[in-house]
Parts: sequence; C-alpha cells; structure tokens
Amino acid sequence: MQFTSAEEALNYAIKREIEAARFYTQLAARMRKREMQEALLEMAEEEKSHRDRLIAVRDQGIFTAGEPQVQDLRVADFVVMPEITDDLDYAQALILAMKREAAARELYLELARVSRDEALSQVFTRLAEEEGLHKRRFEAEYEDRVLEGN
Amino acid sequence: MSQYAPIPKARPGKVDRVPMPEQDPIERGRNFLEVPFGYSPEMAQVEASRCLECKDPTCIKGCPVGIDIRGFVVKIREGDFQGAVDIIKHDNALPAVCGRVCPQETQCEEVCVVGRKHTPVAIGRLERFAADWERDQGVVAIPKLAHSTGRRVAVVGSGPAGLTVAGELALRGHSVTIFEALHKPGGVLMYGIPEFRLPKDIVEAEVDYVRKLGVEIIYNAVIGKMITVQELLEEEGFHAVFLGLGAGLPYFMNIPGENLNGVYSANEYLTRVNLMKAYDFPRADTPVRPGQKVAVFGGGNVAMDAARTALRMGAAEVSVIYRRSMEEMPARREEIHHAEEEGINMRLLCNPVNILGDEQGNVTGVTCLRMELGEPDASGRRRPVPVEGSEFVVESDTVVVAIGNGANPLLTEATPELKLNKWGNIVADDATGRTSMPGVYAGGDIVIGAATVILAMGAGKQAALAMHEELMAKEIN
Ligand SMILES: Cc1cc2nc3c(=O)[nH]c(=O)nc-3n(C[C@H](O)[C@H](O)[C@H](O)COP(=O)(O)OP(=O)(O)OC[C@H]3O[C@@H](n4cnc5c(N)ncnc54)[C@H](O)[C@@H]3O)c2cc1C
Ligand code: SF4
Repeated sequence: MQFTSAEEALNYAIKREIEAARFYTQLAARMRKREMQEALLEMAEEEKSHRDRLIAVRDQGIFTAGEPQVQDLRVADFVVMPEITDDLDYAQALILAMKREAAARELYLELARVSRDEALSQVFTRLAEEEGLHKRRFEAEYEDRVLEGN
Repeated sequence: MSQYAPIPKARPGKVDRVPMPEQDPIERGRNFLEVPFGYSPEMAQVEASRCLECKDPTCIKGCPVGIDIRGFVVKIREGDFQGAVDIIKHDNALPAVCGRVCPQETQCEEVCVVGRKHTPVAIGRLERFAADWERDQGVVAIPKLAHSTGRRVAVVGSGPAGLTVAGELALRGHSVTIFEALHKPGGVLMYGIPEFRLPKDIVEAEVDYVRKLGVEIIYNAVIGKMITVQELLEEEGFHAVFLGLGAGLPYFMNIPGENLNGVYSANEYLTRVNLMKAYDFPRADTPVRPGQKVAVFGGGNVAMDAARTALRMGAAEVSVIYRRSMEEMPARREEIHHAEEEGINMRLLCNPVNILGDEQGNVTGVTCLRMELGEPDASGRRRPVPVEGSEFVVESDTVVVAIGNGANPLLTEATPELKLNKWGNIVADDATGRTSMPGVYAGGDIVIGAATVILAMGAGKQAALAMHEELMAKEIN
C-alpha cells in the first residue's frame, strides 16, 4: 500500500469503514435468530457513523481527538476468534467485532511506522487511536456481561 | 403465642453482634454439611435486642420485597417467633432460603441505622432463625385457599421465580401446573447452590409447601422440545403461561484450551455434584473427577461455591482466579470469608489467558497475567488492564469456569413470538412481566440475566398479581 497524502489515507480508511458496514449487514442477513440480525445491523450502523466521522475529517481537514486516550484493556488479545456460522450469539459477535477493530488498529499503527512523511504518519496514528476506541467499546460491553463475574 | 419471655431493648452500641456458631473450617472442608448452625432462641433474642426499632426504618427500603423487618425483629425480641414468621411470610414465601443466601450486606443490612456506627443488626440470620424455628415445630401453617376460579396456569421452571408465581396464583384459586426440565424441583436452589450452604431438605420443604397449596409439578418436561408454549395455550387448555427459565447457559472465557479434558463449567460441575450426589462417593457413582489442583475462574457466588465444592471433593489445592481486586468481588462477603477460612487460595488481579494441556488432552495448568486496575473510564469504572510481561502458570489438573451465565435458548428458539434482547433474554414489562406474546409472562434470571433469588421471587410476585388480574378478566368456557 502506497499513500502520498492525508486525503488518500483517509479515503482508504473511509472505504474500510464502508466495507465493515457491508460485512455486518451481510452477516445479519445470514443469522437465524432475529435478535442477532438486529444486533449485527446495529454494528453496521456504528460502522456507518465511523465512516461519517472520517468523511468530516477529510472534508474539514481537522483530525481532533474523539475522546481522551484510554488504556488498552487487551481483551481482544486473548480471546479465540469464533467460527462464523448462522448461529452466532452476541458474545461471539462482540469478539468478532473487537478482533476486527484490533486488526485495523494494528494496520494503521504499521502504516504510521512505515510512513516517511511526518504528516501522513500522524494521520495513521490518529486512525489507529480511533480504532482503539472502537475496540475498547466492544471490549467494555463484553467485559460488563460475559466477564461480569470474573 | 409467645414461646419465650420478652427481653428488653439493648442500649445502642452496648451489645456486639451475636456471632453464629459454625463448623470448624478444617473439619467442614471435608464434609458437605451446612457450615453455620444458626442462632438458638436466646441468641436470636439478644441479636434482635440490638435493633433500635426505628421510626423510619431504612432497612425495609433495602429489601427488594419490602419485608417489615423492624416488625419481625421486634417479634423475635419479644419471644413471639410465630408472629415473626407470619410477618416475614407476608412478603417472602421462602424465608429459610433467603435468610441463607440473600446478599444482605448490600441490601437491608447495608442501610440499617445501627450499621452507621456499629455492625448492623444481623437481619439475615434472624430471618433464617425464624424460618428454621417454624420448620422445627413440625407444623407449617397452610393458608386458606380462595375458591377455584376455573383458570389453569402453566409455569415453566421450578426455580424461585416459578415457585413464587405458582404459590401466589394457587392461593388465589387458580389451578397451577409447573413444568420442570430436570428430575428435581427448585432450579438453582437445588442444582446450583451446594448442600453446605443451602441444605436440600430446606428446598424440599419449601417446594412441599407450594405443593400443599395444590400446585402440580411435572418433571422431565422440557417445554419447547416436548411441547411448545403455543401448544400449552392452544391445545392443553392453559389460560396463561409464566416462563421462569433462569439463566442456565454458562459463559466461557473463549480462551485457548477450554475444550481440554478436565475443564468444566461451574454449572456442569455443581449440577453433577448436587443432583447426582457425586459427593457421596463411593456410595454414589462419582461423575466428576475429583481433581487435586483445581483452578476456578471467577469471583461471584458461583465461583465460591465451585471452589468450596472442589475442596470437599478432596482437592489438595484450590485457587480462585479473579481479574479484579477483593473490593469488586461480587460474591456474598460471608462466602468469601468462609472460603478463605477453609484455605481457598484467592489469586486476585489475575487473569487466565490460556489453559495448558498435555498430549492426551488433559489439563496441566493455566497461564495467567497479573492485572492492575486502570484509570476510571467515562462510566467511572476502573477496569483491569494486564501488566506487561507478568505471565505465570498456575499448575492445575482441573479447571472450573465460573464467570457467569446467560439465557438458555432452548425454549425461546422454539417460540418466535417472544421478543428477546440481543443477549437472548426475554423482553418483559418491568412491573407486570408481560411479554410480547399474549397470555405469556416471564420473570427472574431469564429476563434480567443472572441475578439473585430475591429478585427472581420479586419478579414472580409482580407477575402473579398481573396474571391474576388478566385471568379474572378473561371469559372462560
Ligand atoms: C452456583 C450458584 C450460586 C448462587 N448463589 C446465590 C446466592 O448466594 N444468593 C442469591 O441471591 N443468588 C444466588 N445465585 C443466583 C440465583 O440462584 C438465581 O438468580 C435464581 O435462582 C434465579 O431464579 P429463576 O427462578 O429465575 O431461575 P432458576 O433458579 O435458574 O430456575 C429455572 C428453572 O427452569 C427450568 N427450565 C429451564 N428451561 C426450561 C424448559 N424449557 N422447560 C422446563 N423447565 C425449564 C430449569 O431446569 C430450572 O429448574 C446463585 C446461582 C448459582 C448458579
Ligand atoms: S434500620 Fe436497623 S435498627 Fe432500624 S429498624 Fe431496621 S434493623 Fe432495626
């Protein structure tokens, strides 16, 4: 992957959010349980709001922090990726979502590391932080319920 | 009638909380007998004399079902134990159970006025005393039932929620049948909470009381599989259905190694020991492997029960592995205290991340990370975060995962008319238990997620009142 401008980088990130929304929408359509269809469509909506935020960043040229930087809970690091079937439960959907955000974060961290252009590198760092926040949101929901007694 | 002479109120703070006699920790670690013996009448009266008999008793507000606590405590001080029982039973049909298992320290006792300066009145122990006293008399009064209404109600599940609904509706003259999937009644009271904390004959006695009210219980009846909810209403002639299915589906950690031999969910572990009397080995054929070094994941009541059961099954070393600190542990304080006394090793701020096994697929240990509590986040919670490079291994041959339970989908999947939330819990009205399916109500753990006995009973009571109203408004032929 070669990027020459912040705009290009953001366009790439926007495309990824659109793909993510499509992924959850298609997955929702496969689900046997109605409540899981709804839950995955909600996840698709979240991806669309991430997309909108990045479009605004691109068009206004300002990439402000969404929330103060938070500690990495690292729940995603230790859970096993579930097998994707038409019978996912919500805990598995959360694992899937946190793993996807974690992978996106890793990718942007790597792009930030290899970018020789300082400004571009900063855009990737901010993108990685964004993905870190999304990951944490799924990890926190998982922790509050599945790891409640732990 | 008073059985004992009244004693005077104690001067505030002048009498210490009366300790409850209990089995020696070393001794009891090898048997399944109940740990505390309960108060004698004299002890109960002295403890009751510590109550200030407040004008505005805060304790009552701390009780999820609003028992007139001051009222019954005064009766005990006065030696009128039957009077105390009558007051409690007005709001709580299972006092012998609740006196033993309610988290009083976060409910009534937390807000007791005495507790502001001294140890609060031991409300739970007094409740237990009154209920046990009545049972020891050998005559449990059966209240007069209302005339038959001709309405038939099916209750699915015989846990505290289902039993409460059944009892309340039977009292009001309805004909109630409970369908229970297992071969024993009581739900978690029977198969989850161990004998040493809640003797099964107490649960049997409470169930017997409900039976004496005319409730029929059908065992080995899995609704959704054998027969559906729709069929109960449309073909079996029931006018309403209550679903008290509980939260019977154990959560796992979703970490590597959870499929190794020797890894159990707490549900499976406790059910096997409780229902199949694995503890009565060799007289009963033990279906769980005893385990010498047992690691239990979790910090709630379920984890304490699993750990203390493992000890009684003969384990040499039992560790509770919990990600947060003692302060956040959700178990009842008394259970944590008892577990520590019995020698359970509390590994706090410690997170299992991988279960290790040998070539035969048997558990050999658990890789853990040390945790620290992070900065408070937007919700104000300090979440645990791993300490870099802090990995270590806890040697184990048995692992019990006791982190929590979710909704069992068996019935709900066969009932598409029921609206569920994304966790699979039935969506029901807070005040009435009404679900999206006409004539069908729900309450307890299946609605709010794994919670407590008293909340399940509270939900059952509310649903029973709403069901009674609807049933009486219904034309029947
Ligand atoms: C090990 C353990 C320890 C606990 N300790 C405490 C404690 O100390 N204090 C406290 O307050 N709470 C404690 N709890 C929680 C408490 O037991 C539960 O909140 C409570 O029992 C919930 O009651 P319920 O009636 O909703 O469900 P349950 O007690 O779970 O009962 C549900 C019943 O429904 C039956 N059922 C399910 N599906 C079907 C079907 N399709 N057809 C027919 N029958 C069905 C089940 O077999 C079961 O008998 C503990 C829980 C566990 C597991
Ligand atoms: S708050 Fe405490 S002291 Fe006051 S009535 Fe209740 S139990 Fe007694």
